Parts: sequence; structure tokens; C-alpha cells
Amino acid sequence: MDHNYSGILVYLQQAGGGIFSGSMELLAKAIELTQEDPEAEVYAVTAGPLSEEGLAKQLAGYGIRRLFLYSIPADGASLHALSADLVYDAICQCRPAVVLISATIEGRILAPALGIRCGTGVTADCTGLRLEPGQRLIQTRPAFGGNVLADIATEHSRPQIATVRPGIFDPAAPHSGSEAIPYECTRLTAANAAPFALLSHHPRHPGISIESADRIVAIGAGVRSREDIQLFEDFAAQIGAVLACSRKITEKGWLTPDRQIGLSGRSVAPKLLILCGISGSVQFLAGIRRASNIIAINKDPDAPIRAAADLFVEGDVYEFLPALSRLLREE
Amino acid sequence: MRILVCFKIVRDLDNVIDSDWDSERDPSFRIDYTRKILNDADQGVLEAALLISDREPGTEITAVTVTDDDGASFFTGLFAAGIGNVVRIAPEEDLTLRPAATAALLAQYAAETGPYDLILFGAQAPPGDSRQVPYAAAEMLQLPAIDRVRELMNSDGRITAVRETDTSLEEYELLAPAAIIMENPVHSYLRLPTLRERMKASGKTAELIQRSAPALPDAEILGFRPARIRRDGRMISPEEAPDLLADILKEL
Ligand SMILES: Cc1cc2nc3c(=O)[nH]c(=O)nc-3n(C[C@H](O)[C@H](O)[C@H](O)COP(=O)(O)OP(=O)(O)OC[C@H]3O[C@@H](n4cnc5c(N)ncnc54)[C@H](O)[C@@H]3O)c2cc1C
Repeated sequence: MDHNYSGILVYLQQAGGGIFSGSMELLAKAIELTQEDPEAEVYAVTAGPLSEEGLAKQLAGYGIRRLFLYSIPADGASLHALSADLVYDAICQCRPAVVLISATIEGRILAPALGIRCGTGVTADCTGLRLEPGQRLIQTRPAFGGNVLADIATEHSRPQIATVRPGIFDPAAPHSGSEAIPYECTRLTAANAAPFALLSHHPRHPGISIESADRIVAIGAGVRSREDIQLFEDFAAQIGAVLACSRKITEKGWLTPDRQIGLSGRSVAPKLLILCGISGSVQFLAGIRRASNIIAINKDPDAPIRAAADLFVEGDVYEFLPALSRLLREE
Repeated sequence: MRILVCFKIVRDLDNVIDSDWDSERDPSFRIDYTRKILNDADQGVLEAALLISDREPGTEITAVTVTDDDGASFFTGLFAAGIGNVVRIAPEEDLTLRPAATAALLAQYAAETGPYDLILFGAQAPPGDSRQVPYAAAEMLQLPAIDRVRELMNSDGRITAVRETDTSLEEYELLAPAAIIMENPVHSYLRLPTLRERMKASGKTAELIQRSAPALPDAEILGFRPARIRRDGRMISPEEAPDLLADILKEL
């Protein structure tokens, strides 16, 4: 193995005129991981329309050694083939021991492509990262439908590439409040290219983030019709929660995929999670491990969700929620 | 048109006895009593290939899987549904949680028997659910990839894909060859063959290829730990629940 690799490179995904919060979490984690090792520097790479000035404020407190900034004009389509080329270029320039990427739609495409280019292993959807001496990264991720945690290491190749689900780490800048820490910026430009021709693009509502919500009401197949969604939407609004769902609801197209909790959806960490008519499949449970208080409402006392909930209300959600809603209004 | 569909036969994790997750032993040994199923995410992908073939007769569909399992009953079902050719690549090593090695075997098969116009994948499969195999295989084959595809359409030699992102629905015209990764497909189940189709398919067998996986540096598993969330599950009656919940909401 080539030991000539050192430091951590973080891929900063651009979104909504700034850096995506999941990427900032990884940047903060990278700074934390390298604290013990004076040899390990933190690098960052980003590709998109943001200028260096636009980025400077967001990156000020983090202590990045070098930023690779690839300017690409923005366009409507979300399918790009470029990032892997650019991030690979940055890897060749700074030779990091570790590459961290947020497990977003984009990150999930990027990481395996980079793994093949670099001839190295990738661990997807990590929930824990630890840096050992020699900058050996111990990567923890769920497997077997989230029922088991696997500790994984990339023993024979570098860099060690890991993706991490958004919302797992704290995004706070380790040095925030202190003076802006200067970093070196390498500016490059690239043309935008999507591999296929975009025929039509229909934007929907601005995406809501269930990952960062403090209160969530989640609905499942216990909901009988699309029209009934409003009942749950209203209840969620009443208690200051956002509405999320199981895959049975997104499959029917009643809510968009950004609301889906679980293995193929989002992983959430609210203080309060109210589950309405959700059975508790292993795939759903994989997304709620970090919730603090879970209350499940289900007609079936033997539903597996009971063992994963703090409180279990055996009852019909159509009777129970209106009663609760009324009580809250009266108080 | 020539289509290659990559699919997987998996264990039904919903059938695992709860306590079996609470040990530190390698879980793959502990769940081998569960029934095998066609990976949920791949059903709609096989169906999408058949729908293309319905619209363009003469389309050649090959379904390929990497497994050390004989899987004969599944293969008959695939032949009966209309898949022309089923291939089982039997790896000489255990490829559990080794997505790059699995992708390499699929890519090698595609390269040897191609060119294919479309190579279709489901987004993920247990036990790893890492979503790496399709992207890694596309990268090895140097194919442009499109993911989160819900539906494929074809007419007059033109193929279009509807892709659903968090905030938009996009329609693309695809240029073959391409790798397509489907998720939440509009037609999510593989069609059920008639008894007659089943009888006709009963003599067909999958082609078996024995292969050693290329020595790719997949990340290595150091060990497993139980991860099941188990909480009190305290039962509260619907009568006392509204008051209790109202209190909790005030507290949090
Ligand atoms: C690879 C893969 C990935 C997957 N990823 C995900 C994922 O990310 N997220 C996900 O959710 N699923 C996922 N699934 C699907 C998963 O296996 C389940 O099918 C799904 O979670 C079930 O959703 P549900 O609990 O809403 O529906 P069901 O299992 O049908 O449960 C409905 C529940 O509602 C209760 N109920 C019915 N009516 C009422 C009522 N009036 N009042 C109260 N209770 C009522 C019933 O008792 C039942 O328990 C995945 C599957 C696979 C194979």
C-alpha cells in the first residue's frame, strides 16, 4: 500500500446558494478527527456556481488547509456527470488518506465512481467514523436492514472513501467565534455536462428537510386515501411538526421521496416522533434509530413497531388523532 | 434492442426472529433459515425490461445475478414471465458486503457478452443496501448512468426515462448504451406468468458461470455489533393517551 497519503478531503456539495448542511457536518467531523494528528490536514473540494467570496463566510471558522473550487455554471437539471472527474482531480492533487462525502443523491453516485477510479474501497452510509494511528479510518455502518452495525476498514488501499448520511454529525464550526482562518484556494473552471438530454423538468414544492426536524408526524399504510393526508398535515402543523411517511406512501405518490423515512429514505433524529399506522418493518426502523421519543399509534397490538417505540397506543388513528387534536385546542 | 438486467436473490429480513439480531456473530450465518425472495427493488426493473420488449418485439432480455445459491425456482419464474436468458454467476469467494467485487463480475459479464443498449439495475439490495453496485459497474463499463428512474418508455427507437428527485420530476432522452438505476418504479412488481407459461418454462435452466472475483480492494469488515433499537413499548390505552400526549407535547 502507498503510505504517501495524508489528511482528509471533504466533498462540499452546493445547494440552495450555499454548502449543503450534510457537507458542513462532515467538514466539522474532519476537523475533529484530525485534531489528534498534527500531520493530518483538512482539504475541501466543491463544484458548482458559487464563487470564492460566496463560500468564504460559510467556511471561515473551519480551518481548511486548501479548497479546490471548480466553477460550473448552474442549470435546471440535476443530473451531472462531472463531479467524479473533478473530485478525482482534487484527490490526485492533495492525496488525502480519507475522502468524506455526504450520502445524498449526488454523493451516492460520486463515491462508488471515485472508488473505482482510485482503485480503493468505499463504505456507504456510515453512522460513525474514528481515526486511528496511521490515519486508519474505522467506519461504522448499518447492515442487514439496520439490525446490525458493521465496523469496516479499508486496509490495503488509499484513500479510504466513506459516505455519511446527513444529520449524523454536528455541523458546528469547531473554531467558530474565532478569527476567520485563511485557506489556500485553487480555482478551476469546468463546463457543465449532463450525459443525457433533458426533455422536461417539473419542479415541485421547495424541499423540506425531515432530517433536521425536531418534531415529526409520520404516516404509513394505515392512511386510507390521498385526501386523508390533509388530516395528518393539519395535525402536524398544529403541534409544530413536519409530516413524513413510510415507503408505502411514497410508492403511491401521495408524498414526495424527501419525506420518506427509512433505509431507502432519510434517517431522522427528532425529539418527538409520532408514527401513525406504520407497522415497523426493518427497513423503516433503519431510519428512526436516533429519534429521542417515539410514540406509535397502531390498531395491531402485535405490530413490530411496538418494540421500537417508547409509547404504544393501541387504537385507530382516525379516532385517536382528532381526539388528541381537540384536546390540544381546548387547552 | 438488447437489455441486460442485473438482479439479486436475497433473504427475507422481515422473517428473522428478533433475538437473532442480538449476537456478535456474523449475521449471514444466523439468518440462513429465512426464505429467499427476489429482491424487492429488482422486481420492477425486470418488469420495466419486459414492458420495453412488449412495445418493441424482438427485444432480447438477459437477466444476470451473482450468487452462490442455485435459485432454480426463481429462474423458472423469470423464464415464464418472458425473460429470454437467465445467467447465474457463481463466485468462488463470499461476496457479502463486497459491492466492488460484485460490480466487477457483472461488468465483466456485460463486457464479454455485450454490447447491450441498456443495463438495468435496482437501486439497492440487502444485506448491505449500499447502493454501490450499479454505479461501480457503470463506472467500470464507462457507461453514462441515470438513477432514480421511475419509468422507462420507448417508441420508434427512442427511449425516455422519468426520473424523480426530491424536488422535481425530470424526463430525459437516453442515448444507448446507458446504465439505468431504477427506484420506486411505477410498475413495481414482476408480472405473474400463467400456468401455461410456467409449464413451458419448466424445462429451461439458467446458464451457470463459475468465476473468481477480481481482487478489488473492497473495504473489509472487522466485526459486527447488534444495533436493534429496543424500547419500552409501553402500552397506553386510547382513553388515557390524549392527556398523556398533550403533556409530552408541552414538555418537549
Ligand atoms: C430494499 C428495501 C428498502 C426499503 N426501504 C424502505 C424505506 O426506506 N422506508 C420504508 O418505510 N419502507 C421501506 N421498505 C418497505 C418496507 O419493507 C415496508 O413495506 C414498509 O415500511 C411498510 O410500510 P408501512 O408500515 O406504512 O405499511 P404496513 O406494513 O402495511 O403497515 C401498516 C400498519 O398500519 C396499521 N393500521 C392500518 N390501519 C390503521 C388505522 N386505521 N389506525 C392505526 N393503525 C392502522 C396496521 O396495523 C399496520 O401495522 C423497503 C423495502 C425494501 C425491500
